[in-house]
Amino acid sequence: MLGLKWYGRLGCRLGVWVSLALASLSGCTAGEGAVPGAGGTGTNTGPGGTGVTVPSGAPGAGGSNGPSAATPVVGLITLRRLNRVEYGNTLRDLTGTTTDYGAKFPPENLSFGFDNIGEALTVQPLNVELYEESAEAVLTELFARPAADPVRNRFLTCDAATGRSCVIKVLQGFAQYAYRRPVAEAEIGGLADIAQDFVTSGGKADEGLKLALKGVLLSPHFIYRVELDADPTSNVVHPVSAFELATRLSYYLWSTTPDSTLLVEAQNGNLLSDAGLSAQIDRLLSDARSSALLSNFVGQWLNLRRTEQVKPDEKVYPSFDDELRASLRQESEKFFGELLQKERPISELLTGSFTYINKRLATHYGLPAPATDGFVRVDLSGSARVGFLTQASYLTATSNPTRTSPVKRGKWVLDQLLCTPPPPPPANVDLGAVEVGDTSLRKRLEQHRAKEPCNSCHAIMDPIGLSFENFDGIGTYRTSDQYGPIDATGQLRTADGVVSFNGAAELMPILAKDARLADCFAQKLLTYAVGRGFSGADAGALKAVADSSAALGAGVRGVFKSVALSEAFRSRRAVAP
Amino acid sequence: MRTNKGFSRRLLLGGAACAVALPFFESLTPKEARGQAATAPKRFLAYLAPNGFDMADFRPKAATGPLALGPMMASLEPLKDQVLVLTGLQNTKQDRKMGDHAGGIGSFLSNRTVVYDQEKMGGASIDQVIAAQVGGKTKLKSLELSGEEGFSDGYCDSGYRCAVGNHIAFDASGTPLPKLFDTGAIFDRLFQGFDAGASAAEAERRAKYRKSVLDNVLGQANELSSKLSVTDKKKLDEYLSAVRDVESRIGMSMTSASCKPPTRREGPLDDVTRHGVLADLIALAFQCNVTSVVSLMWGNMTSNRNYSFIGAPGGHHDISHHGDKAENIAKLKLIGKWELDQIAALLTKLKSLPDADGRTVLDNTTVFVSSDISDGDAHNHDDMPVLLAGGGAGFSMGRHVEYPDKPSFGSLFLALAKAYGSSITSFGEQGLMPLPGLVV
Repeated sequence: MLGLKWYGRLGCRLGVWVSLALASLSGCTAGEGAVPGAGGTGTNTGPGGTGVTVPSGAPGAGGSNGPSAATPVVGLITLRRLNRVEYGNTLRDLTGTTTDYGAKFPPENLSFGFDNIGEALTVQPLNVELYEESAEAVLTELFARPAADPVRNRFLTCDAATGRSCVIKVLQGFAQYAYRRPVAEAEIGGLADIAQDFVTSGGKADEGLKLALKGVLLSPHFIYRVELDADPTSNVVHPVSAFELATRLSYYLWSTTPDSTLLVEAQNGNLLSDAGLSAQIDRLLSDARSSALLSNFVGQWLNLRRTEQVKPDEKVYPSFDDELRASLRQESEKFFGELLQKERPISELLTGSFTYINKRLATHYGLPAPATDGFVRVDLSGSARVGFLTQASYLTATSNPTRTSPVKRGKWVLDQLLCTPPPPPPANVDLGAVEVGDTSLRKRLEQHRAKEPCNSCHAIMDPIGLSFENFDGIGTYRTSDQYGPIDATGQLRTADGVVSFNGAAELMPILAKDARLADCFAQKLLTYAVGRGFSGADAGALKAVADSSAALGAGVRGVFKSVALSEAFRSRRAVAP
Repeated sequence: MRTNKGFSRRLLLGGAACAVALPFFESLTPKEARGQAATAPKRFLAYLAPNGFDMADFRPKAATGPLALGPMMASLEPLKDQVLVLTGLQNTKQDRKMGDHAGGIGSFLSNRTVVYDQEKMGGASIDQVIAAQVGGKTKLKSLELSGEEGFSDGYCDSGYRCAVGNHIAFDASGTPLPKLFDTGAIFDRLFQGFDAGASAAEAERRAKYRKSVLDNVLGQANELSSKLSVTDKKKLDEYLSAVRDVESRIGMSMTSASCKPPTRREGPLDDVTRHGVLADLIALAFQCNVTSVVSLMWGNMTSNRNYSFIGAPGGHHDISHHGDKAENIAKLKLIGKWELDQIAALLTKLKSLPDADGRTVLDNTTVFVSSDISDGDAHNHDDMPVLLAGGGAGFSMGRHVEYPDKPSFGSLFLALAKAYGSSITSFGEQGLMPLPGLVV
């Protein structure tokens, strides 16, 4: 994991004990001047900003560049192929299959923290082999459906044995959904020829048709979300076509292909108007398919997918099991789902005093078990748990197999929630394993913060991370560890001055006031929606989203909506300016 | 004498208890049948063990000369005459100070600098250079495998992209080759034919139409390409070359009559079992001539695999930042020993399999084992741990060679490329001269 390397190395071992260092306005200066965290340089509100003073980063951060007129709102995005989740969903919605064909594909290359960035999505022979296998299998399923089956009848509208005109009709009907736009006869003529040749040489008509349909599912028009420019050599920004917009919208909010309604709205041009687009955004967000946002966007932004791979040590955490593992992610998805659907502000990501638990999580959290199976909403007012950062998903995903990692927890907040990743530590620091030893974590962290290069960043990361020490490496509440009673107190310098807090419940309202949380959320969402990396340098695009979100009510749902209404989402250019 | 008559195309799978059709055997005409001396293909396996090694235990006990295995390699003793340990080599890394793991992994087989903000490397990795020589007549040009699921995080080390920070195999354009993790999927890709259960005539017919469809989509892509911006055109080129490669291999399948695919295993496996299953799949892929080139990343970048099952609890990467603490170093010795025990088992498997030329598969294979860094705490890219095994490259084995002047992986890879018949005159960024001392 990013940064793991250096908390371990940066053991600035001084025997001096100092009181809790405060974040200084100069922020982290320990680095070599290059901020890591692709796309994560943050929109720096600087000293005048609200909330916690976090590292202002280094050259390249929004702070030093400032909102720049030179940075275009519409950047260059690379032709996006369907990622494996989108591919599986698309085949599901196109053919009614219940098999997840995407699951057979290797994991995608993550870029900017997401798996749907055009530049990083590649095609190699393995992909083509899997496309062939999947197409064969899914079409075999389709043709095996009974005669009266509505999915079958949606496409197989005539008897292929009657000849070429039927083959053309079926191909054209199927391809327009597969390519997500109208399809000219000339485009599928070659595939019809193959079907015809197959029959002429003694093959069955249905088999010939299946062969041709396979060509549709292997076509670059299906595999990629093609967007064309009137002039592919021009750098002029232009709106994407109505069908291209329908496709962008559908994969953004549903991670799947547009449905008939959306395609009709594209065809009649309604989608190109603000009102028409707005209506479709609302419809898509209210549809059950928008749960894809929770599993894909939220699952990656909040690192929930990581819970599938964590391996808490069996001896240290004997209670951790696969049922708990599965529950962690669901809890956080359902929690965020309420913020989305009930139009709650993003600050409640940190301060929401409720959660969703099932019987397994009730045991884990020491809460009364729900009467029924499945998840129920519970009020957490007055408890030690408040908001996402006290949920076991985050607490487990940022821990090491045998213990908590306050540095990792603190750094994660800066990276993912405030988009201000601390710069790397300087080279040539006195190396040592700061988190490994025989005194308490807090004490060792204090020792290593005593030295200036370490202090400037760790004075911010560590208090945040240490505030969660009442939760062990799998998120169980505790009041002591092997070294004695837990001390979760800390201090941070904020725009309101130095604030002291005891534990996460007191820190969360402080963090929630930081303006960077909302900016960071918009930045992550734009990255996911548009498929290129957005950073603090994209101030224009971020400001547009922020302004329009405010007008839309400032809730989480409004931000999802304003991203889709933004120029960055609705336009493209063929060549960088 | 073998013929393909009566050769069973169906294999009853133990675990799954279902019949899976094997591919149509296009042409099983062993050369013996034509009265010629049989030859076997040359093969290459690259193996990345993450997070470095404890070099004190990795290093042989004696200087340059006959191999006296260090404690970590004790289990290689029976294979010693087919092992060559090289010490003192260095490799390229990344273009910024931080990101040593990403830098070590992207450059692992490519000897090219890993560049910040890039999704690609500057050229092909050595496995792909070798595949260009020996991979033309197999069902798969090469096979890329992973011993650990997914990624460690959404970013891959100090902002470097996962495309270059978590892959070791790159094609000629520097694009990463995706790795398969699930052993069932690996089995299927290797041994399950597209023309399952078909007669010869049927299979030929299917191959013909499979080709027609791929030709058609290539035509669609070419037409589309002419309308695209430069950026998008480049992206679509990936699709074009991938489809062309698949099309060129239609009809190819297992071409060895003597091999028997392993049992299909899938789903969650413990690490010991997984390593064994991967070893079987690799060995049989070679013996069955399904592919001649394999690369395996046993762990992801900064792998935090928990080795508690051998008494080294904690995350591997965390422990590798040992801070000179005895407890951590002891764990690293255990982990390294375990890794080399598994590698010894893999080599033993390769040695147990007869090849078409009457030798063993190991005799015709070169195995390259190393890591992304040398010492997990120092993060250095010099004094790299390098183990070569097998007779595929014709190197003089059973030795330890020390290189005091820090030659590069690039030089080693240039020597390997030449041993596999490539005419390239340089490799990567530092492979200007073939590494000396490999053949005596």
